[in-house]
Amino acid sequence: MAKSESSSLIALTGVPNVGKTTIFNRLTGLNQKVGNYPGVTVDKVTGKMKSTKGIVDILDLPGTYNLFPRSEDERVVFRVLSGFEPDIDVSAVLTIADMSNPERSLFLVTQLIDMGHPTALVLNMEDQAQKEGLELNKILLQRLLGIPVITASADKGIGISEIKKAIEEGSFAEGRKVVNPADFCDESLLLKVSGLTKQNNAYQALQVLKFKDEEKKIPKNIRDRLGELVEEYKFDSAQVQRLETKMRYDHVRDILSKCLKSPEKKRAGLTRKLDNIFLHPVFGFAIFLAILFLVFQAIFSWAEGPMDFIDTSFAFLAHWFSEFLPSGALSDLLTEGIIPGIGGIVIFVPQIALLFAFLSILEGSGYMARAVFITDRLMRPFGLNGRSVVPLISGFACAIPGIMAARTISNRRDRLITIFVTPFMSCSARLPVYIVLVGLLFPESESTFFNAKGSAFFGLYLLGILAALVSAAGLKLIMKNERSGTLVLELPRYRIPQLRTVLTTMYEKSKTFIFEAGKIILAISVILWVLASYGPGDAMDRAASTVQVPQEKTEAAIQKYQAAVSAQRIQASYAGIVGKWVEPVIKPLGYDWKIGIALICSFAAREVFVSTVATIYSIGADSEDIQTLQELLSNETRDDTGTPTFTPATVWSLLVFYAFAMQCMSTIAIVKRETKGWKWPIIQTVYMTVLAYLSALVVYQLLS
Amino acid sequence: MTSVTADTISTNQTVEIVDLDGNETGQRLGEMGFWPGKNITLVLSAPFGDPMAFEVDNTVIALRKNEAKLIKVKTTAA
Repeated sequence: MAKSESSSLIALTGVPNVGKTTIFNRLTGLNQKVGNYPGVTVDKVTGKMKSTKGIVDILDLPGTYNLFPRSEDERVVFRVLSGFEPDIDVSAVLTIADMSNPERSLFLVTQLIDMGHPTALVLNMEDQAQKEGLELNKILLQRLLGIPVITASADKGIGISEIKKAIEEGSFAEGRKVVNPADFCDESLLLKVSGLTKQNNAYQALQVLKFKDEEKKIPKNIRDRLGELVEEYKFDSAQVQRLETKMRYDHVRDILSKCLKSPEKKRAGLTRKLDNIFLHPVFGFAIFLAILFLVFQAIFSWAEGPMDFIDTSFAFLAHWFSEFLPSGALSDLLTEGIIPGIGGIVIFVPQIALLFAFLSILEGSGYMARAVFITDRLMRPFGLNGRSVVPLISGFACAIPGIMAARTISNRRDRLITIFVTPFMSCSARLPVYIVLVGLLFPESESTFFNAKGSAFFGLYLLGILAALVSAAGLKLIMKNERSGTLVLELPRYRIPQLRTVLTTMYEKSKTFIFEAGKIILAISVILWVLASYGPGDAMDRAASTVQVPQEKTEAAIQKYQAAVSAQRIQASYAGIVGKWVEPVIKPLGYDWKIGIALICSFAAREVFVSTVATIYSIGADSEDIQTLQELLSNETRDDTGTPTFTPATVWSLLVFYAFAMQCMSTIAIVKRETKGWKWPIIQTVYMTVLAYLSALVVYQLLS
Repeated sequence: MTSVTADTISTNQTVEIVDLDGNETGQRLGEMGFWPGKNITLVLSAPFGDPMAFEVDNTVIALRKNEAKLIKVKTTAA
């Protein structure tokens, strides 16, 4: 069993903050795949390691302190190792421990050994242990545990080849059992359980019996039978677990007393000093805000260059194709539907990559836990906790990675509330909308440090934050029956973040975004292109032919003619029909049917508003040129009254609408995926849209 | 020698854990290292005194005040 063939699967385990991800990245490089475990939101991260004996699959299990399955992370580890996860057949377990702090890791190691898989232990951070003067007798530890022990300093790449070699040669062993379940539990009971759920050994059977109610994978009839056994044998789960925990602690203490020599001196001096600064009641918050400001700046300013480059490149690509392809429906689909659609996905990559680079640095340095620590108390009145800070801040770039980042929140209620309110944070997709609309309000841009435009932007961001916090507090009241969360958060030692880990995170998160959200965005862009390009029968051509062909063939006259034709065509298209159909609903907000078209189209993604109004107000191909767009919009008049369409009241109403409304198919898709159902995304979309409608209504009626 | 809960000790004070609350959170703390017989030190508290960071087994773990309440400790009062 230990020496398995080509189809072997190695499960990587360990307590949090021991460098497990670093080792995983070193072993697999970029050959990683992120999937999902059925029924839970935990990422299933697998990678392939190339070896002389072929490819070995490596499964990076979430970091857990033990195998008692309480949180979703722990449940996944428990399931995989107990054989409840179909298609995952673990051939061996590689567990990582922090050599400079072995007390913390060994509890899990003893549980892993008792689960009965062939196991090997990596003592990581050997350099740190040496620096602190800690001596661990590796040979003795190996003998006491009965499994191979490898030392490594993964940050520096030391020991990686030894780990690879161990995996290649399959040097894993089943180890010396630590706890005999028969000591505190009737053996015949465990045999019966094994018979029912097909467990390999008594300890696995005991685990299953203890956590049968949490384990939905056990068929109901078997669960009922297990329940009867619990009654029959008067099985006291809590008591058994206390006994087991005590035995393990005694065992770990015994092992360490034999093979560990700790220095007399107190350790971790630098971390303590840094904590006195970073967790200072006053400076701590100041530093936290400064870091936030830096991240914020980066997402907006640093990403601008690459985003402009992507924008221009795709515009160039579309132009190039339209020149070289014979004109026709297919060419139009490619140059007006598909290429801009892909461009609309790729344009977010710089922001997502930058955000996750920062998050990875903050996580890798150990600062993230400190940020949670100092903000936890402040977030609690809103039904959030310190861990909500990261998703909410990420929401300023894009709600999607923010909602994905909410996975670190173990409490269900806190996590749902965080997911629910994150889309209120003013994401980068709102920015183009804000820029165009605020530009209409204040056309003369003053170059002073403090100007009207800047204040308007600030106000809109504040509005989003306010909506998020108030909604969170409201949800907390509604969901007060749910179990409230615990914090229990480790503050790891400060470390220098690993460039390799940062780069891998940037790459993996961008890839996930392009393939997960990108599919939906592309599909919707193509659908919307069809809606705007086609109408029932020959209605569009007939509408276009009503425009008077100019007598004089001057350039200005021809341009005017073409603009009128485009406007007529879109009015007759399917999109135009829908826009007119919703006009009565949006009229009280100060919108006409053309804005209606833009609202509908931008339901795919907010920034589509800009390109849609550009099309509707027919400024031709150069749709991304904001200056021309602004001039066009301010000259636009209503069909019925002839008064300007974009009055300040209408513009403010639109701004408030976009600040609150969901208007993002990708967010809906990600919320559906994260909450495992349509219930939450639907409630969320309805709530946000109603709030947006009512607020816009109030704003328009007050200002007009 | 008096028995108090861990949320009442002062910064840099080291105490020994004597008992844990029997509820699920209490048990979880036990599995995280807060086990009777071990020494813990209050390293520092966040603004407003909540959460609190304790050192146990050379690891610093932050707990909310009402979680720290579940840990009974004995002080060797001077």
